[in-house]
Formats: sequence, structure tokens, C-alpha cells
Amino acid sequence: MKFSMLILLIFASGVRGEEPVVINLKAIAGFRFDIPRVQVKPGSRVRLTLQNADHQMHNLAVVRPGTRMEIVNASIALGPDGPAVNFVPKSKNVIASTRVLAPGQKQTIEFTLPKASGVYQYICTYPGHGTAMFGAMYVGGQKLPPLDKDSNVPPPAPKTGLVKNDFLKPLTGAKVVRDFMPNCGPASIAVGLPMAQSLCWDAGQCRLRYAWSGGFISIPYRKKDQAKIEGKVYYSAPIDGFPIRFSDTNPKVEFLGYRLIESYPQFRYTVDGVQVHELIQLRADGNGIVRLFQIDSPRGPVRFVVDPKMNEFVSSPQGKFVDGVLTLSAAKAKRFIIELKAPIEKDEFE
Amino acid sequence: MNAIRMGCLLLLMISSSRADIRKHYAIENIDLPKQVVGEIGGLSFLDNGKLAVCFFREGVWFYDPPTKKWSQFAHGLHEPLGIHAISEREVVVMQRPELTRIIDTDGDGKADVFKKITDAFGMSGNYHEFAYGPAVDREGNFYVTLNTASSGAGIFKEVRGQFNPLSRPGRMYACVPYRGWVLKVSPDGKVTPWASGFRSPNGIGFDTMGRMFVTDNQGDWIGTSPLCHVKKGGFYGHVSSLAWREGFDGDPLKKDVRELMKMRTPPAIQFPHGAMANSPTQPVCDTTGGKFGPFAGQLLVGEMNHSVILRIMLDEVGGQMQGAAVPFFNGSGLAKGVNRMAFAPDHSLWAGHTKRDGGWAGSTGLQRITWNGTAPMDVKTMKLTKDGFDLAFTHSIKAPIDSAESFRFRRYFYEYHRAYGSKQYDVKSVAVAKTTMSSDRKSVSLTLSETMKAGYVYELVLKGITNDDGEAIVNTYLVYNVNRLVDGTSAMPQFEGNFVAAKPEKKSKRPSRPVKPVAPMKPVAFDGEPILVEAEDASVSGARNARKNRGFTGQGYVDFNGSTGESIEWRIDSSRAVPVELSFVYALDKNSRPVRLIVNGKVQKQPVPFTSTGGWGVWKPVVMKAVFKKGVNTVRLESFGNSGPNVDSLKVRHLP
Repeated sequence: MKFSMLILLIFASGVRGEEPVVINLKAIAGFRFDIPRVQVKPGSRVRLTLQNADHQMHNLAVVRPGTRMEIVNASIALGPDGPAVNFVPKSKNVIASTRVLAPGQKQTIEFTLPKASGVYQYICTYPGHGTAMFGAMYVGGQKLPPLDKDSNVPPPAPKTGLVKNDFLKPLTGAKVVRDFMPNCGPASIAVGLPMAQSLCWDAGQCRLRYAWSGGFISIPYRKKDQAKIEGKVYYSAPIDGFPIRFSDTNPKVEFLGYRLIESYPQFRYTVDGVQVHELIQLRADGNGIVRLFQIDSPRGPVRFVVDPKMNEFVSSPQGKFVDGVLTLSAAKAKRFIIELKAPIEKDEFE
Repeated sequence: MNAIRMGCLLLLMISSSRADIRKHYAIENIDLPKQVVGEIGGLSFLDNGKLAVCFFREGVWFYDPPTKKWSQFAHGLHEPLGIHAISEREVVVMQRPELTRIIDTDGDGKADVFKKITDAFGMSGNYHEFAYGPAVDREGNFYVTLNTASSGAGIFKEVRGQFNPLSRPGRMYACVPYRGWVLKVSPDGKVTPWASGFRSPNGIGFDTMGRMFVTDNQGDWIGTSPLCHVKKGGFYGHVSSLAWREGFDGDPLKKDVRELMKMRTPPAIQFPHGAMANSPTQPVCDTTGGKFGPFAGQLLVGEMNHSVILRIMLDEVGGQMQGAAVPFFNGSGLAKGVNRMAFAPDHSLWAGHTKRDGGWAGSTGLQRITWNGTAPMDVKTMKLTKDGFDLAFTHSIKAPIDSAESFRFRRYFYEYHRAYGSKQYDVKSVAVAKTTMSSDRKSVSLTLSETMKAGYVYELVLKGITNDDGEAIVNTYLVYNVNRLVDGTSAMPQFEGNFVAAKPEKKSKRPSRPVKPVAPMKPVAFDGEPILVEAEDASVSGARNARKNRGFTGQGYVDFNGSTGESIEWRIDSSRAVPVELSFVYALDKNSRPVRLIVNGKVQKQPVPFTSTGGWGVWKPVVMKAVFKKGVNTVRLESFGNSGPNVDSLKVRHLP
């Protein structure tokens, strides 16, 4: 939502017989009303609809200038008497109020504003909400301060972005962050390396899902969403199929955890009961990722399978990928390396 | 001079009688490391006094209270909401995807091994699938609770665990295994599904007797937020989790509510929503043996929306856990959103707050509460008797007490149903018939004037109770949840009568007005010349006068409100018997709303076919025919079945 759209200016007149001023408000997640302030002429007839678009209970009370905290405190003081009065205290400073609305409910109320100009406020008096959840109802023709400097409205909701942006700085070692990642199962692990090399490892499926270069991740302010990839994905594993094959069938895998070796993660898991270590490191030239695999006592030859389309980004000192398959003898499979080489981004200024 | 002294004395008297928990307990804020936002997911003390804290975003830190030094132990965890510290080199954390053992193997103070204890439960990717715990039993087993998913958001394309489409519908759902469950996890990672029926169980703990308690949040299937005494195999109310119960077939949402209620173990405590708690959090037992005040062995429960820590007075009756809740620390400098609590080896209580990025109502920070050795005047225990309650106090009560004024009861029940939350049903104030005080004046037996009712919540408000020093009782609002009567009787009142919910006072406009008898209008003369009579001048019943839409004539128009039997009646005094044309001017936005036409008491064959005029501001006539008698004629429009249009006026002219 654009900043300017947050300001709803209403200069409708409230003269008898004319349309009331219509205000449609939503209670939204994060203890907010979707519109932080409105402006109405004194004495207006107002038709206000509150829609509860949050997943918690909310109400709304319009209160006289300067009485917000008085009403909020009085609503808390209602104690056991709160539910019967919808948590709206009896007060001459409450001009109008809705009932408590369950998620998804809405209610329209009509009321006439006093003739006196001033900064009235609408608040949710539901216990615990009123300190944060309110908006300003400017009654009169006041010049409004810029929204970000308006002390009558709550501070703006933090937008999606980093709370702490140390991930944007170049990393000196590896950073392991468990969070929701795009195009992965829900138990994912983001690994950031120096030289802006990163990968997403799926702890549910015990395998690398994709790798990117150009940055690490940003984490949305509210953890409802997935982390955002900073950079460009160049390597993706297929949606299905496990890379390490002892036979033709997809193996059964189990995640065991990881160890940080000089900050670099070594994932541990079993494949058909055989323990595998996978250490993630930076390529020597800083342009890609080295994966060092160690398989405890493989019972026979091992195939390492990638998407054939990814052939140009994947290589191994232990052999050649043929149609996306690297075949390793049991001896070689005890310790082998898979390298991912990131495409070199041309510098625009060169 | 005297007057001033008097004033001072009066002031002293007032201040000495005012109840404030801070006379007995001190509260302080603990500075957090500047790198952290301060949203606390877990607190756990080591015997050496060091505190392990997991933060929502910044991983695990240790705090050393004497030096006030913080040091980061582990990072990169996915929304950890619980921690159990084993040593300065090992902690167990419940993070969203798994229960993880985190170890510092080389002793440099930083964890380097993250060992999965278990991830044998599903994740759909829905943001609301929080994971809480672990509580640890005497054998070292871990118990964790898994939140259900929210219909406020979808799920990932890829889920972890088996997907069950039957448990995908509903407000809060459990489409992957063991959402809405308590799981037991052995130290080596073996998982036993322990108990089901939870919605948002953000709190699990044991008391000194080894009994497990779990809190939940009001919502669908949860009438008001409860504290449940959890036993193996129990079902505690929220139905989605039943999809993962062995031997349970079919769609949990389609089961008969009465059958579900029979399956359900009722909550031990119900916190009246809004009044006492909205989102209770972790229960923690006062294990200090009296070093934290007079409430040893009782449970304290955090609360997300209020600045309150609640205290639980359990009362096992007929094998069923129940009892009373009362605030312990209410305001008085406590920040809201106490998410986690832990007792330190020095017997102070530490409270960690969160607001989970603004998605929850709390706040941030860490607070410490210490007792100064003096007991506040408070209710210490509340026990059910056959005809009322026994209250024990921390100090002798200053006599006399007034039974009618000092103890005020109100009882009601919460319904068990699918809809979000429950109203209070069958609300009634119950007078105290008799009070009997013990000889030491430390306890009072209250006999109620009504037979005790199982399945009801009893709210008690105390008034004017002080100790001998004149110190007022610090908490005046208590709630007892009567699951069973002392003779063992239980009940499901919602199926045992036709009870009405307490109606909140209506503040909105348009109250449903009783239809008043309407005075007939003064007849308008019709002597052959066409006449126009405004609808607002006729007798209007049920419908209402309005002037919202423009274009009407006269003072306004009449708006049918929508019920059957609303009417407008004109009285026309005709100078002779004559066939007439009745032309009704009306506006109708959409569709058609035929209305019955009654002339001189006789329903006309054809209703008036009011069809859309194209908008509420567009006024058009519709013409009907009728025959007038000589004298006063009545022309009545009466709604039937549905609403009528907005009617502006009636024109009458005689047909040649």
C-alpha cells in the first residue's frame, strides 16, 4: 500500500437529509486498523463499518480528543464485567462503539459527531489491544501533519524487510539460518558463504535444493512469509529424487543434524540406513560451492544423480557426469566432492 | 496546623490500606544484549544460576546474573519457543521444525553441534504451526506441543509428513501429523503421541506432583482459554487433531458435538476471555518451597494480552482436576505478554516477554520478580464444598465481614462448539446465604443460596476485605471452574436445557423497535380532483420514515425495513363511490419487491408489482386500480415475505 493511500480525506457534509459520511475500516493483523486516520466535518453523521479481517477478536470505539488512554485503562478495569459491555466502558467520552467482532464478522454503526473540532480517535478497547490499535479521526478542517510525524496515529507497521540486515554485509564465514525458504519443503536451511554464494538445504528431504549467487537472504518482518533470496538462482535440484543412489529405487532418508566446522555446516543424515556427511564450503576461486561427501562403508558402487540440464554447473574431481549421473566405486564413494560453479556475472562497468 | 496533621494522617491511612503487590514483591527490568530484539521464546536456569534464553530471532544466549553479562551460544534457529538447559555446553531447544540438542563440543562457548532429537511430526508450511516445549519429566523425557495451522494462510506445495485432506478444512486445522497434539519424546528421540485436542497450546509444564498442564487459546472448539490437566490418551477439545488419533475414522468436523464432548476431558481451569486472560502462556510451578511467598506448589501462568501473571489454586474433585484462578501479579510494573517464566536458584521468578513480531499482543524484554518475605493479603486456596466454597487467606481477615457485600458470585457456562469462542450462557448472580469464619479468621466457608451446578464457571468478586493491619486484599477477582460437584456429579449443561447467552448491551443504532400501535392519519378529502398524499404523512407501522436518498417530495419517504407485516396506510375521504387509479411513487435499487395492496380491509388480487426503478434515487410511479366507497377509504401497502421499496407518495385520481 502506498503511503499516500493511507490517508483518507473526507469532506462530506453531515447536513440533515444528506448521505452520511461512510467510513470503512478493517481490523487487520498486527493490532492495526487498515486506515490510520480520517478527517470529517464537525457534526457529521457518520456511517462506520468495521470488518474484522484479523484472526483475533476486535471492537472499535470512537472517543473524544485526549481520552484514548483513559478509555483503554477503563476497559481493562472492567475485568469480569467486560464481556457484557463488549469491553467498552461507560463514559461520556465514548461517542460510539461496535460490539466485539469475531474474525470475519463486520458491523456498521451510525452516529453523529459532536460539533466541536478536535482530534478524536478510534480504538480497539479489547483487552490488551488499545495501546497499539487505534487511529485518528480529525474532526474539523485542521491541516494534517505528515502521517509519519502524526502523534495521533500509531507508528507505521514495519514493512517486509530485514529486522537485522547483517546478512546483507559480506560474510566472513558461513551463516546457517533455519527459516521458511521459497521452492523448498518447510524445514529448510539457508546457508550463506563468503563471496555472496548461497544455498538452500532441505532438512526434510536431506538434500541441497538450489544454489544462488549475488547475496544471501532477507527475512520478512513478520514470519508469516518465506525468506527472500538476494541474488540469482543458478542451480536447482530436481523436484523429486534423491541424489545419492545405492540402487534404482529412491532411498529412505533421515536427517540427523549438522555440525559447524569453522562456521561451515556439515550435514549429517542416513540414506537407506547408511550414514552420510556433507560438508559445505566455498570454492577455491570464490565462485561457487564445494560439497564434500563422506559415506560410511558404502555397500557397492554409488551413483550421484543431478538434473541433466544442470550439467554445466556441476562437476566432480572423482569423475565425469554423464547425462546428469556420476558413478562412483565403493572406494571412491567414501569421500568425494561435488562442485557447483556459479556463472560469472559480468560487471556492468567493465 | 492541626488540619495539616489530620490531612497527613488521612493520607497515610489511605495509602496503607491500598493494595499493591509491590509492597511484597519487587520487579526489575533486565538489560538485554543490544543485538537482540528481545522476544523471548524460552527461559531455563542452570543450577549454577546461569540463565539460558532463546530469542525468537537471535538464537540462544546465556546470561550471568551477578556480572550481568550476556554471551551468544547458538544462532540460526527457526522460531525457537522453548528451551531446556542441561549445562553451559548443552541445551535442548524446541524450534519450529524439530527438537534439537545443541552442544558446544570444544568448550569455546559457542555451539557447534546441532543434533536432531526428533522431527517426527508434520509441517505444512503454514505460519501458525508453532512448536512449544520442552517440558521435562522426572525420567528426562521431553514433552512438546504442536500448534494447529490457521485458515488465515495456506500451506506450502511441499509439506513434511503425511498430508490428510480430511483435516485441512476448519478455522484451525491439522493436515499433517500431530498438529494439535502433545508428544512425548524420549531422550534418544522416540516419539509417543501423548494427548490430542489442542489448538494453540503455547504453554506446557509440570507441577511438583509431576502432573502435566497445558494452556490453550480461545477460538474454534475452545469456548474460553483453558488450562488443561493432561494425561496420556486424553482429548481436550479441538477436533482437528483427532485426524491423527489411532482408530479415529472420518471427518473430525462432522462428528456429533455431544459425542465429542463426551470424549473430551474438560479443562481444569477456564479463564474468562478478556476479563482474565486472552492467550495464556507457560504454566510454571512455584518450586521454591515457600521462598517466593505463601503460594508454594501452586502454578503461575503467563498471559499474552494482559500485564498479568495468573495463579492457579487446584482442587481435585472426584478424580477430576479443577480449581480456581486469580491474578498473582497484575500490572504494577509488569509488562504485558509474559510468554515464558522460570524460577532461578535464588528463588526469584524471571518473566520473558514476546510479541512475536507484532503478531501477538505482548511486548518485549526480560523481568525479574523477587519476594521481600512479607505475604500480601490474598486468597491462598479456594475449594469446592457441597453447597459453596471454602476460601483460605494468607492473613486473618479483619472482622466483621458482610456476607452480602464481601462475596459476590456469578455463575455461567461456556458452550463447547465449533464456532469461534463461546458466549456466557445461563448467567446468574448467586447470593451468599451464609458465611462461617474460622476461629483464626484465616478461612471462610461460603454457603450459596443456590444448589451448586456442575459444568459451570463461578466468578467471585471480593469487596472490602482487609487484614488486621488494614491492608486490602490484593486481588479481588477469582474464577472457579466446577467440572464436578463434591459428590462426583458432572454435567453438560449445554445439552440439558435451553439456555440463553448473556446479551452484550447493544450500542449500535437501529435497535429493533417494538411495533407500536400507530394512530390513524387524518383522512384527506378526495372530491374528484387528483390528490397526492405523502407516504410520510400516512400511518406507518414497522417501516420507517427516511430522507437519506434524494429526489423525494415532501418531508421524506417511507422505507420498508425488511420484515413481514410492515405497512403504510392512507385514509382518503371520498365524496362519492368511484373507481380510482392509485399511483404509488417509489424507488427500488434492484430486483422486485411486490407488496400486498389492501383497500378498505380487502386484500386485492394483485400485489403491487414494485420492480427496480434503477436506483434508490430514481422515483417512478406504479399504477393500480381500485374502487372507492363514499366516505373514508383505507389504502394499505403491507409487506409479505420480504421487504418493500422506498415509497414516496400516493396519487389518487378517479377513473372516467
